[in-house]
Amino acid sequence: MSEALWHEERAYGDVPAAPTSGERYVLWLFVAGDEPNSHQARENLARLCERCLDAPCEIIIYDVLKDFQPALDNRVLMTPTLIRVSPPPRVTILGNLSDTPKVVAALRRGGGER
Amino acid sequence: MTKTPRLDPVLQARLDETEALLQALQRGELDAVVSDTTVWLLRAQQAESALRASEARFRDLVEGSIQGVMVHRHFQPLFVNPAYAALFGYTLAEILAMDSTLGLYAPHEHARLQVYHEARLRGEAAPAYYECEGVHKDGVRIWLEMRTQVVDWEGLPATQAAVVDVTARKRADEEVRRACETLEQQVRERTAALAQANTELRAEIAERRRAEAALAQQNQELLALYERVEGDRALQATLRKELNHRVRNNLAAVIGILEVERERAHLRTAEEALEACASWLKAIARAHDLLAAGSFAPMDLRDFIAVVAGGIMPQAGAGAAQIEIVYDQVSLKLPPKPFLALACITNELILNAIKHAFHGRAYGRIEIRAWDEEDRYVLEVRDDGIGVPAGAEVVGTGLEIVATLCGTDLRGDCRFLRDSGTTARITFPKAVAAAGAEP
Repeated sequence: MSEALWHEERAYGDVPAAPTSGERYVLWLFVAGDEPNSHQARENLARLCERCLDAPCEIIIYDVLKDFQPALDNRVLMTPTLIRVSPPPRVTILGNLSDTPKVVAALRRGGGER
Repeated sequence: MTKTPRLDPVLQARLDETEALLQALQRGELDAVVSDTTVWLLRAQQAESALRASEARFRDLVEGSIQGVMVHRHFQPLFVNPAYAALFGYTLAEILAMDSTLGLYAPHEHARLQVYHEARLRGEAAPAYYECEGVHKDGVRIWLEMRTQVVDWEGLPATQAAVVDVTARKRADEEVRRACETLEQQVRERTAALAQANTELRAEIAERRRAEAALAQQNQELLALYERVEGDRALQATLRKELNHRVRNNLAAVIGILEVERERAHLRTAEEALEACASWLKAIARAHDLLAAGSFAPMDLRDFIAVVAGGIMPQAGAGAAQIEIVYDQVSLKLPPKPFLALACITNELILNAIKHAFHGRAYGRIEIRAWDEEDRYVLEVRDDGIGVPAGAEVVGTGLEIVATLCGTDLRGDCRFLRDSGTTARITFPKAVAAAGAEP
C-alpha cells in the first residue's frame, strides 16, 4: 500500500517546481471542478495510490476552474490530466484513470503516456 | 499508437500526447479544455452529443416508421422516409430527385397546400391537421391525412408532414354516407308515398262525404216527395170530398131550381121553363168546370165573372142589342163555397138585364163590381137600361131564384135599386164565404 499525500487544490505559487523525492511518487492531478470525469479521476487516483503503487504518493490537485495558469504552464490542454512529476521522467496521463492496470503500468514504468 | 523511429523524440512525444488526447476524447473521459484565455467545459458538448444521438435515434425511428414522413421547404424535398415514398409508389431516390413534391398531390389541392406552407413559414396560422387528395404513381387518387409542423432544418424553417393513407377509411365513410343517403332517399320516397296515399285517402273520404251528403239530400228530397205525395193524397181525398159535396150541392141547386119552376109552371110555357132551366144548369156547369179546374182552391171572382159573362152572350140570342159587360172592379179572392150561388145569381142578373133592360135600344152596358166591406162582401150588377118595375122586389122566376139563393146559400141579402138603370146589390157575410165545405 502506498501513502498518498494530498495537496488539495493548492494555489500555483505554493506548488514545488519539481519532484523532491525519488522515494515517493509526486503526482499532479489537473481537474475541472467536480465535473464527472474529474470527480472520477480523484477517486480512481486515491484508490490506486493506496492499493497499486509500491511507494508513497504525494498528490497535488489543481482545479483549472479556479486557476488555469498551472495547466497552461504545464501544457495541460484538457482535464482530467495526471502528471507524474517524480520520479522522472515526467509522465502525463489523460482521462478519468478508470483503466487502473494501464494507469499503474504507466506510472511504474520509467516513462510512458496514455 | 504508432511510433516512427526516424522522428525527433520531442516531436514523437507531442504526437503521442495528441494520440492520447484523441483516445481519451473518444472515450469521453475528459471534462474541460484549457485554452490560453479560458477553460471550456465539455459538458455542453456532451449534451450536444446526446442531442445528436437522440436525433439519430429519432431519425432511425422516422426512417423505420410506417407513417410517411417528409420534410420540405417550398415543396423541395429535404427529407423523406421509405413509408412516405411507398405511399405514392415511388422509391426514396425518385422522390428526393423531384424538384417539387406538389406533383404528388391532386391538382386541385396545390393552391391550398401552397397557401398553408407559405403561411406556416411566415409564422402565421395554418391548419396543422387536414385531409387532402394525393396521386399515386399509377395515377390512382388516394386520400391522405396530413399532420404538419414547422421544423428547423439546417438553420432554416421547413415543413415537416406526417402522412397517413386514409383512402380505405374515406371509402368506408363514403359507403356509409351513400348507405345513409340511400336510406334517407328511401325514407323520403316512403314519406312521399305515404303523403300521396294520405292525400288520396283524404280525397276518397271527401268524395264519400260528398256522396253521403248527396244521398242524404236525395233522402230528404224523397222524404219531401213522399210527404208531398202523402199531402197530395190527402188533398185528393179532400178534393174528392169537395167534389162529392159540390155535386151534391149542384144537384140540390138543380132540384131547388126545378121546384121553383114547378111552382111557377102556370106562368110560362114549358119551352120557356125548360130554357130557363137549361140556362141555370149551364151556369152551374160553368161554375163547376171553373172550380174543378182550380181544384176547388180559392180563386179570383174576376176570372169567375169573365167565364160566366163569356158564356152568356151566345145564350142571349142574335136579336139582342149591342151590350157591353164590364167587370173591371171585381177583384176579390174568395173560397169556392159561394161561387156556385154567385154563378147562378150573376148569370140570372145578367140574363135578366139583357132580356128586359134594353128594349128598343141599340146599345147597353152592364157593369159588375165587387168589393168587401168590413165583415161582408158586396156584388153589384148594374145596367143603364130602363130599370125594374117600380116596387118590384122580386119579379119573375129568375129573380125569385136569385133571392132564394141569396137567402139560403149565401145567407145574404138581395136588393134592387133604381136610378138611371137598375142595380142589383148582393151582400153576404164573409163568414159564410170562408166557412168549411159544408154549406
